[in-house]
Amino acid sequence: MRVTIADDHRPFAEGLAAWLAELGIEVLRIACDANELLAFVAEDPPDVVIVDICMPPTRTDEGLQAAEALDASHPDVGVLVISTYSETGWATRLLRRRQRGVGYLLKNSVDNVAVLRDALDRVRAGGVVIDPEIAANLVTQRTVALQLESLTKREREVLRVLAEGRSNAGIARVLGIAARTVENHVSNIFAKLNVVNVNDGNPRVLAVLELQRAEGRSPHRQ
Amino acid sequence: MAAVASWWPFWASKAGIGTVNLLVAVSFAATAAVLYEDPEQHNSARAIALAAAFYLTSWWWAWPAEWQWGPLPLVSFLFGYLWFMFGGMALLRYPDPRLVLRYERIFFVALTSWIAGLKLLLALVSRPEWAGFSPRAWWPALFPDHGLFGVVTAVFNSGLVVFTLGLLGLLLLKIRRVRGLELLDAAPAVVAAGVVAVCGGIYLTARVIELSVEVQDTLRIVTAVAALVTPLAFLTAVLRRQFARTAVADFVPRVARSLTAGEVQDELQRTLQDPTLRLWCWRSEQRDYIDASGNTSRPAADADRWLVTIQSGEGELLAATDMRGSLRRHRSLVESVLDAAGLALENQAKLDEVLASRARLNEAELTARYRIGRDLHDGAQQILMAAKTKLAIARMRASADDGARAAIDEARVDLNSAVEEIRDLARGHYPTLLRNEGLTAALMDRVEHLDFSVKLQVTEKRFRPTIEENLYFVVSEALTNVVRHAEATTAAVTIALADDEIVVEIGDDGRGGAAAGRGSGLSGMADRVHLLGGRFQLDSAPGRGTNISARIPCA
Repeated sequence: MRVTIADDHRPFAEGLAAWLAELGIEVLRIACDANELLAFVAEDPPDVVIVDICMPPTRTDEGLQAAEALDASHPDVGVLVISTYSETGWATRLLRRRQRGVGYLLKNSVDNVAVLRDALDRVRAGGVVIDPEIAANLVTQRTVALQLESLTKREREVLRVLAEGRSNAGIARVLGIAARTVENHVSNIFAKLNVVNVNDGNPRVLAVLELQRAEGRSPHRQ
Repeated sequence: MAAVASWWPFWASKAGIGTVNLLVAVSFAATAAVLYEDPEQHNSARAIALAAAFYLTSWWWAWPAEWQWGPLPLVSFLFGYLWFMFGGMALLRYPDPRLVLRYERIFFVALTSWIAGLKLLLALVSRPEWAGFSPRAWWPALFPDHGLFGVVTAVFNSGLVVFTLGLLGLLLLKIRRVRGLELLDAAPAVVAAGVVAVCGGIYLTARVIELSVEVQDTLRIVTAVAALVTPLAFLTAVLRRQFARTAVADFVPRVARSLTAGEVQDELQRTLQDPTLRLWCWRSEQRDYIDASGNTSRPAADADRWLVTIQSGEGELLAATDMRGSLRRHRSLVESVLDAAGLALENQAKLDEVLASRARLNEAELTARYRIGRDLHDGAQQILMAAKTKLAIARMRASADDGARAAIDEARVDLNSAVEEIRDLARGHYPTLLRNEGLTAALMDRVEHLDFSVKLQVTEKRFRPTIEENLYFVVSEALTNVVRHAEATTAAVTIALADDEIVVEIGDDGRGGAAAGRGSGLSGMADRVHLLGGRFQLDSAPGRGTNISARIPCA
């Protein structure tokens, strides 16, 4: 796999590059900002770019803007954004802008070989990836008004893995249960959370992320 | 004494009217004396004294014949009625030292001409005894004609009735014209003048239509008694001015409590009874004035208005006021009131300075916090992340059996703890998320790793950075308190917008009993809320959890 990195924190970017090389992943270039990244991609398109969200000049959401620009110019290049923060607001924004081949990973997770490999593979294959820690927080989240009380323990597990961006088959594989069982669980979950059941992929993850944000933020609803 | 002496003979024969006339003269003289003490009322005092003098003159016909010496009877006949003119003028213009309006001046010139002119004509066509004087009095009787005398007398008296009605009209116009303190001053005088004019008018009408002598005498006494109201009116006005001055005493504590220039202006308007009064505060740095609503403007120079500046104790210009010109007559009252207003404005300026310096300190604190937060995020945190990738490489290369992997895994655990600690430190100092993503994102991040559940309901609306930052630290500090002291299982944080106010509620189900000043950070939270111009409330009864609420204006 060929990867291009964009992160202005040099020690981290170089550490990540070395780590990827150790895993047998080819790192083409390291860009310091979004413009440089777009130039590098145009020059030599990688399979996946790994982009820090906060980059110069404003350090607000340059990474997300770069993801959007790449979606227009190079839709086949997967985008894995990385951040120090588990900001579901960023995750929803990212998923609204890109339908496929997109992921959000915490910088804290990249030294986990299984998580990193899995994320890169799925993004390259056009899938959707949400950091397992964010997905887990979403489900165990005590900070928001998600109506999780009505879910069974099994359903919560399914919801957590679903929020990582996995398909029904992926959920079945991770949890070691039958795909049909997963389908049942998923339709039960969506019925209980009062969300229209959507198919696999981006819209389904987005629905779950937005559910959390909407409930958590709205001052009008309990 | 002069009054008693001049009156004695008449008094002896007609005690009733004599007593009344004596009282009128004495009270007029006393009024003139009282008014003369006020330097602004010298003209009024003179007019009243003249009215008293002419009033006495007008009664000389009642003197015994041997007193009616030389031209005195003629003077009495010609000018006696001028008491009506001087008295009416004094009452109409009071408390102004002169007649303000042109038609008022024309009226009195016409009245004087009418009295002097027709009386002279009457003297020319009459003998003194026809006018009730001694037949031996000196008299310019050129063409005595009894019939003509009667006709001219009737014309003269009819004219006076018309003038009396005219005076009543002027009085009504004046009442409609004057406002505020001036009305307070003028009203009694106007009422007195009205009473005298009405009585005098009836008396004169009785003479014109030639009612019986008894009726005429009675009406003459009634008019004289009515004239007694006049000094009373001035006395009332003087007393009311005193009351207006005591209003300053009420003004002082009220104006001292006012917090804005607008409130000072309201108090000035109320106390000086001038709703048109305007206050402009001088800004010495910008060298300009701003009005009570905060707009830059200049006090207008207008002849009808009185522009007064307000100075501090050290003589620095603080403000300017612009009020009705009529308030010039209450100079000492206005000066006392403006002195008190000056003190209030000076205090406000000092308070503003303190608040501004507090805001600057807060700004500096937030900037320092932001810098530390950003340094932690961009520096230490990134290096720790890099170290983690390097340990991952090391672990990959280490063989599983010689214990190297186990040692590396231990190091990774430590490193993860360090990452967490740095994150917490950054969150506590200044989460960079706050500036870019707002309160909701920053607070969600803040509560993520707490070991009790927190229900967050935070409005999506963005506010000024100072508001967002201080609010974040209020909530963050409150949550730290919950962690340290409350032993709570759940907490709730609500930040909502209600009627241009940000309403913040932080509650927990812990043991309560929190109080400011025990290292709880509560006073710091209250300071932040007050700094934002808000109100802070703590409710923490033992055993019933802690509830903090703050309301902050978000203009």
